[in-house]
Amino acid sequence: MVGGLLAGCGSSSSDSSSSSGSSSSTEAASSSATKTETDNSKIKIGVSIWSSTDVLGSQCKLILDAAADALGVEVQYVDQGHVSEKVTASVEQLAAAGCQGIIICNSSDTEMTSAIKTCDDNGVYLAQFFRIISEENNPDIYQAATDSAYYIGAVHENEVENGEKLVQILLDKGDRNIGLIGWEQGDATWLGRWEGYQNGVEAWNEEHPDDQATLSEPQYAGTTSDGGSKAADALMSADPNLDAIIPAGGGGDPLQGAIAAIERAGKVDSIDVVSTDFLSDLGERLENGSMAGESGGHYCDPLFAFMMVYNAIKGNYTDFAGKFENIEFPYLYVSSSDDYADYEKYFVDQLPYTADELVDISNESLEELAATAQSLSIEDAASRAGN
Amino acid sequence: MSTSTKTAGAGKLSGRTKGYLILLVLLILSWAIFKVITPGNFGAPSQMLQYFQASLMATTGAVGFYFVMVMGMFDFSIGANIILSSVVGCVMADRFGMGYAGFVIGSIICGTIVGLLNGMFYVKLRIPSMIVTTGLALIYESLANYISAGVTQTLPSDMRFFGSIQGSIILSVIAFVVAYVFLNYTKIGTYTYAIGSNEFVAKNMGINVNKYKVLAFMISGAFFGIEAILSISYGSSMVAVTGMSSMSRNFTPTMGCFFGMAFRKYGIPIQAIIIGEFMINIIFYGFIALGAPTAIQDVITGLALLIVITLTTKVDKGEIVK
Repeated sequence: MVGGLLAGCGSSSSDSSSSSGSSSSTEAASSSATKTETDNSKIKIGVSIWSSTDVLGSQCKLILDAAADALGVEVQYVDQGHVSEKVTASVEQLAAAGCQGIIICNSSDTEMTSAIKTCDDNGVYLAQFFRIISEENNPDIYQAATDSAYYIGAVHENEVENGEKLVQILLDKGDRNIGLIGWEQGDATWLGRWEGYQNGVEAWNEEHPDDQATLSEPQYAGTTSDGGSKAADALMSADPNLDAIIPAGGGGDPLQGAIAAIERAGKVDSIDVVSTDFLSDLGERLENGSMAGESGGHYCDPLFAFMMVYNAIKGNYTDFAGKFENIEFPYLYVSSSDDYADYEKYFVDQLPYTADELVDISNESLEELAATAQSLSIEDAASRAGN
Repeated sequence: MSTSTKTAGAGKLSGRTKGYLILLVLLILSWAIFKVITPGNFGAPSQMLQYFQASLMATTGAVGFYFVMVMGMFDFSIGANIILSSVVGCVMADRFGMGYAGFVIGSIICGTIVGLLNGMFYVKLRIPSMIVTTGLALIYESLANYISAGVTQTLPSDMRFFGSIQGSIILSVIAFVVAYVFLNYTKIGTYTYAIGSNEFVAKNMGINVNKYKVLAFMISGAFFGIEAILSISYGSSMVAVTGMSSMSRNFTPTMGCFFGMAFRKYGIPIQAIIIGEFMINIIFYGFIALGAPTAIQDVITGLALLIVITLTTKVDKGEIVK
């Protein structure tokens, strides 16, 4: 089957395999003009990820492994814990390990300066997932990425919009005293979501001067469940009128801990919880009221960064210097057990793409790839599954 | 007569009483400051019980770690031990269907084995404990990751008794009593202090120093096993992180242990650890009640720790502080 898939990819013999692996910038510029075919078995793509073992990280690994299997390429993971020096080192390690392409979920924009330089020096293609360099806050880094012949672009979510939508779910449910749990100060994703929560509350307060909502100062839980539990305990203790908690993220474990704390306090009925990062028992939680709504399903985001890098190595996508490819990936929102039943069917019990579909995606142009990413939804997965 | 007698009596307070007084004053002070500033949402009895419960996890680990620290050794595998022990306990309880027995025994035995390995490697390799335990922490993290198959281990909801106030207090109090008995009424406790005071003299007195160092690591490991039980019961899940990410779990028990070291001269290290960790949590919850940003919380908590330790640690003239 894999052979067939490889044929579908248009890959050929191994004699042209290493053209992208160790070439210099100059060589890359010239080679980018003509499509270079590379034997898939010789393609190695590195994944620099915060953790490949937590709730979200393990889901990302699942879809990336499936794509690597379908395409017959090798994939190598480095867990960097979103520690800046480890993020920087991870790119160097993956480049040294012979990866021709790397996808990265960095912690802050500044790490990308070094990551881009390393990739330029080693002739390794680079794409971001779950992140994008802020053109407004870091124009120099953005420009360096744009100028690079090896930096392809970023697949990311609109975190501000995500924050606004989640806080709106709470406000619509009548919650006015909202506690906030962050995971790591300064993390770009967290800051985006926080801005969204604040925007949502401010907009509500402007429209409803007689029915004001408050959002607490964020409490940071790290990425552990006991950290989430302690932060939730503290928020409930500090505000007896608290009627909602937002564990903003952190891989799913702080959310689990926060829910455990609410259950322990016997406040499941009085405190609504919304979050990002789907839990395995989300359907049950939506039904029993311990969750009010959740955004997620974004574990497919790195798949599209992976496909960008894969096609760059294959020579299908070229001429990156002077461009910054930006793919915005949609969140899926569920707020009822019925919503989740559908999600579970097409995103948990099975992956949203079959091996054949993954190969088809790998053959898409960059524009088509962006459209495929943006169209992913529960309905989309259901229709492709024949329902 | 009465005035002079009273003065003499006050001057002859036992070290233990002095220690308790200092701890009590610090405890009341930390409570009172926040109670005055934010009376509405801080420091009610039920809330104090909650703060106390949250402190028990780290306190239990710190009490065990004291045996290692007082001997002048250190352990950088605390977080990795907690993660590995809770993963093993959870797997035994859930995957192997052994219930509470598997959970408790699995976690404590795993913690003890980790302690045994730490001690053995430290004694046999003859390299600093910090280096040995840092290296081993990486191995424990990977082992936990392998056992959990890279998936977050969630403790079944019907097995979280030790996450409740009653459950965590029962288990912790048992642990504290055991630590107290070990430290004050057994040969291990006596030799622990002897080795900590002067290892060379202890060796010349015929104490098998290496044996008791290994034992100290084992006791410490067992207590981290108990902390693992409390942590996963409290938070409901544990993820087996890799790449030294477990290190962040090292510091809270270590902070409590500093209190124990500072109050060792008063003869109440275990009690100081319990109250010290409780104080740290009172400050933490107090800042949240105030709505203070986390960065400010960290600054004040760090300063409070430094001030308390400085005020309670008396350095003799000419003594070298390392």
